[in-house]
Amino acid sequence: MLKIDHINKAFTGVKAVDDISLDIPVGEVFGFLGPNGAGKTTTLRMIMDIIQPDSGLITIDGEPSTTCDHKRIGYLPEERGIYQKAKVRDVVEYFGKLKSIPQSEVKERANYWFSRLKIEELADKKVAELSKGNQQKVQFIIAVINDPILMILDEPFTGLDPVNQKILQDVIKDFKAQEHTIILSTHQMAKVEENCDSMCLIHKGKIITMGKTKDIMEKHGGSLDKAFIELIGDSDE
Amino acid sequence: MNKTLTIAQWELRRGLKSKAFIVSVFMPFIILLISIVPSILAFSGDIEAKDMGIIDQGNGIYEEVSQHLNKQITTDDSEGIYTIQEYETTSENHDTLIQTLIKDNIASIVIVIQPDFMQNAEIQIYHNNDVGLEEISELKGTIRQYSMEKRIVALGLTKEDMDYVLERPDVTIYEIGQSGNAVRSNLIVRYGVPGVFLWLLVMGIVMSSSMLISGVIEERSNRIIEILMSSIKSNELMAGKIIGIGMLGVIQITIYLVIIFIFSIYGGTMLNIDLSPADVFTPNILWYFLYFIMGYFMYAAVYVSLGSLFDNEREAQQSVGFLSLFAILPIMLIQPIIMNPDTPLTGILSFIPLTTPFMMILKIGILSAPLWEILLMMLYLLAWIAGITWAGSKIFRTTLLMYGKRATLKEIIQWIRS
Repeated sequence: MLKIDHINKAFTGVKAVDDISLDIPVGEVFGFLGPNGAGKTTTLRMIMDIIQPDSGLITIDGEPSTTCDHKRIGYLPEERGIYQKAKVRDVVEYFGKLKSIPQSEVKERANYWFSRLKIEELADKKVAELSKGNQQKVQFIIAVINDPILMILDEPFTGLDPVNQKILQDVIKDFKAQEHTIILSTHQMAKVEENCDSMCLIHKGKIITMGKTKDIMEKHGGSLDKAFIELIGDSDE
Repeated sequence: MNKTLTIAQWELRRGLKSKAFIVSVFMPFIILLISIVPSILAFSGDIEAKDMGIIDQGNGIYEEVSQHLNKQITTDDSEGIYTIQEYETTSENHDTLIQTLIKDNIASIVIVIQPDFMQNAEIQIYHNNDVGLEEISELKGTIRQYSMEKRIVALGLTKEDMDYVLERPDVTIYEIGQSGNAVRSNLIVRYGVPGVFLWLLVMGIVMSSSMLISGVIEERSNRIIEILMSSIKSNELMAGKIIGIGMLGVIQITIYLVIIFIFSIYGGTMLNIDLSPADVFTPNILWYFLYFIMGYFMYAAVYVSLGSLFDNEREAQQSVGFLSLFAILPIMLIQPIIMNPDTPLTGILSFIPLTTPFMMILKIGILSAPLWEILLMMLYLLAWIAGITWAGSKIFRTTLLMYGKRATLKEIIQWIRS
């Protein structure tokens, strides 16, 4: 589904992504981990063609990310925001239309997601009137409204209470059951352990380790937290 | 293209709902009203009945003057407004008496007819706070007329002779354009209509500038831009924004045209001027309309492109707000341009894209610019709008995720070239 082939990206001489290659098959939930400033967000932005790699190639379903149609890709960026003065329904429908969902369908899909994430009574309110957690749910809806076959979620659980985290996790599981591919970037190791089939850990723009989640856990005493500390610590030494 | 239109539609809806747009539509008329109404009010009130004192310094014309005043300045029932009383002064009590008359409200107005009035026609008018500009002006006119009539009679002529001498010639002005036909020249149409369009465009742009900038800034500062850029290419986004904001300009000018149409029906009678819808809605109005829209697109392209360089609105306004001065420039220079239309200044300003739309409106109205020039300058402006949109999308793409760092001019040029 997603193939990243030796991509590099530097900002004012500092390497943010250093020769990263990944191959994520269809239907996999892939954990993309790393400490702050490791180059995760830069990599995800390159996948979404928001910024371009200095070298290397990214292909989605065999087509370069620069030319492929993004209408079946969902993206929840780490730095989030939505139009505060607009109504929730209008914002969701707007982004749905930008993902090429026909006008006749977008309303129906929006209603489905409002109901699924339990915010149907907020749909006609202005975004600014919503709590931070509910605003985050709206942003999640924007990422999934196009029923994406590839979904990139950057810290989707941050700021959500356990009940809402569970709702989101159920959605992710449903997508997985439908053979959709998901890249999950998070600092919450438990979520990776629970959801991700495979994962990679990057640090200072380079891949430190990559493989099946359970294999990496086994290697490091059954815990990803431990793996994270040991591998990042080793790498810094 | 569909996505561009979705963006345009969104921007248009957001714009229409914003207070800034409503203000920008009506502010030009509010400013016009604020500048006109007080002067209309100052000259439209009825003059109230008052006590008046006249000090005739030895001319023996008190009776005549007071009769003349009460014949000329009257109420609706043709009654004289003033209750007039004659006073006599000496050189010792002259100033004190006038002061007392006014201060103690014995008289609101005191007219002093100087000695040898028939020779030097000198009078002085003293008044209190109840007397307005219009009343003073009427008093002056009435006394001037009295003086003229007296002099005419002294020369052995009649009042009819005076009317004959003072009759103003009835001048009709014809303009022969490139077609060779003589057309009756209407100064209101020639100078007034393009002037009004110029004013509306300037005000529309100045008032909307904050709205144009704030749209981009909000998306940057709220980090919405990242979601947008994951769904749409930067050039599509830029084009959509400019089209959406440009459509606001179309709606704005349409509202103006409706207001102008209504004014052209009733305004002529109201202001007692030669004006009809046929005078205003000449073929030129189509060009004014198109240049207005292109002017709006031009500034939308500039502000959207440059807005992406800033993190917050205040910083953006401080740095690029001065660009709306370009819009004000032709208004400031309108007098020299009208007085001397062939000045090189007109040519130079026509080629500065930020002033082209304004100058073309003036040139079409005042200089009767030829059709080839009107069309050529339209293409010139369209090329600039397209160029700025293209360069802007390059800047946009590079700067959208740059926070807390101000781009230098060198960097901006590099991004455009890349």
